[in-house]
Amino acid sequence: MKMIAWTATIMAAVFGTIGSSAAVAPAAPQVSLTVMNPRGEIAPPPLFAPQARIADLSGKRLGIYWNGKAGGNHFWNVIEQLLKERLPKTAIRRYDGPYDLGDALAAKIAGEVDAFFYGVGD
Amino acid sequence: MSGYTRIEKLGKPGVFACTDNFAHDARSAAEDFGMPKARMLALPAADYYRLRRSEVAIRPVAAAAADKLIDGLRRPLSAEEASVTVKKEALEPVTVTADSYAHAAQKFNEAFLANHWGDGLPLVPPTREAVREMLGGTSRSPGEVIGTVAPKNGTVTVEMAAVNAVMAGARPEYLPVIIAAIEGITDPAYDDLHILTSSGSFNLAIMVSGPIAKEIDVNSGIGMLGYGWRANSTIGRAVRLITINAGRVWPAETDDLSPWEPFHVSQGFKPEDSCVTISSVMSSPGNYFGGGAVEPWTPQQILDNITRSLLGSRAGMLGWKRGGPNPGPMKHILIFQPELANELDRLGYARQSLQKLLYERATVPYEQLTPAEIASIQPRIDSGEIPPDRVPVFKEALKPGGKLPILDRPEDIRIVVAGGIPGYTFGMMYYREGLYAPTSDQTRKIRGATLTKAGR
Repeated sequence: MKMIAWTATIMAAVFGTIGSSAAVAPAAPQVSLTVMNPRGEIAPPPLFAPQARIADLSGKRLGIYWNGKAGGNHFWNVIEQLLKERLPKTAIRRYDGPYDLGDALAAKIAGEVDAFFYGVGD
Repeated sequence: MSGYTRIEKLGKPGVFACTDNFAHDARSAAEDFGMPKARMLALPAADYYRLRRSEVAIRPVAAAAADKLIDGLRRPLSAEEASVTVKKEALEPVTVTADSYAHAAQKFNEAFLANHWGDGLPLVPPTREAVREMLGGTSRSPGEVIGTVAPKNGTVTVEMAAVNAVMAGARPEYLPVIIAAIEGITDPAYDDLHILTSSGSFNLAIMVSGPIAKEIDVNSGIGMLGYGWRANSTIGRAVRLITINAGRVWPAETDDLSPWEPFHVSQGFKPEDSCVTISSVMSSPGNYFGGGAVEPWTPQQILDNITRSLLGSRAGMLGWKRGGPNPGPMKHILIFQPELANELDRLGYARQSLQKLLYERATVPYEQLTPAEIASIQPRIDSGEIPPDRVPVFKEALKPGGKLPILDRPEDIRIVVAGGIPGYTFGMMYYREGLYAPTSDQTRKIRGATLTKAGR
């Protein structure tokens, strides 16, 4: 978090102008309140664009990852059936694991498929 | 989303699928993991959660999604998707100006609360002087980093903790306790991500022990959960504010998802009325009956769980006596998740028919009653504790083949529809009659409002 200097200042009101002969309406007194920023600084992560898409999935290996949240298996089972109908020449591999699959499982999946679907069950 | 981005970063194109209720969260998480343009497909939550119980049920949802998933892998990235930029956030000071300190403080509060930099309650302005005074409660350096808070991983320093402690209304001597709590939350071994982001409305139990608890007057005795107490309230509030302002968590708004009339209508008021109900409940966490995203559920399972809970008060039956320490049967407030209410509505139930159903299910067959339980009913009838209109029901129950209700009236089961999708069904309870007055809840029509269209 940045170290920021803050002040709570009461600004003096100015009633008229020295040397002026014209009557000036008095300005309303103003209070300026400055407070510290309550937020925690966020270090921006390295940025990535999604990988290029695959125009033709025929002959490719397609992975389906599901994090085990109950009922998601039914959804992805049906998706697998529908994919086999629509993409008969695409191989489908199923994976499941924890909410955060971790580097090792990610590397394994990346090594075994050409593209993937990721379902969290929520 | 973290897992999805791990695989994408290893060179494989993917599509992330979640329900539309979580689409905003998922997009935010994609930004946190450095892939703000992640390809995503949002499934309709209102259908997904209730139909995921079987492949047959979920098939229409999957059929509608299959082609979109394939498209997500095939369709080339747009120029916008292919280029990613990061917005650098400036933590600038905030200055408000008004014609008086009171109005300036009001403007400060409105600005902070509008930015979701608070918890909805008025905040104490964290001026430099106030923060300096707060920092006097610790010998640690203001710039010392305590850690980062999920999900956005904002950094908490000692000074940032002090700023939020001021806002919470804490005293400087509480600051070391607050810092220690944040040290625990930001420990990499502690799973703050789940409790701070789950739709399950988790909260922290912060327990302060050792001599400092007494020195700073933490209440660990009578009423520690049910009343306001400065140390307890402001330490907890400061920790919550720090997680809000470092983790950047804020709940989504939910539309009215109830299929039934508003609760106040069930209490005899007109739909156009606006009402407030106050109800005594015990401070214990209440009973959980089912729902949520972790496991599929059915209305039958949840109704069975509720019935078992209602029957639990049978244990006190022998002591029921008006005006005594155990004055009579319970009243229950049941918070139905919107999905459950809508599913029951589709099955033909409404609030009133469900009250009747649960009342009739929460009964004990006459043959299973003990002689003492049977003997305990007549005095309640004679004394008028059982409402006159229910006496025939109880007399009928005390015959072979009868079933004794565990509650006095179906209306003692109050059903309220609240929460999001996915949501949980839970309950709170208290005695139907108070110890010192006849009731333990009241509903009042709001009147005299001048700044809203309703309640005038």
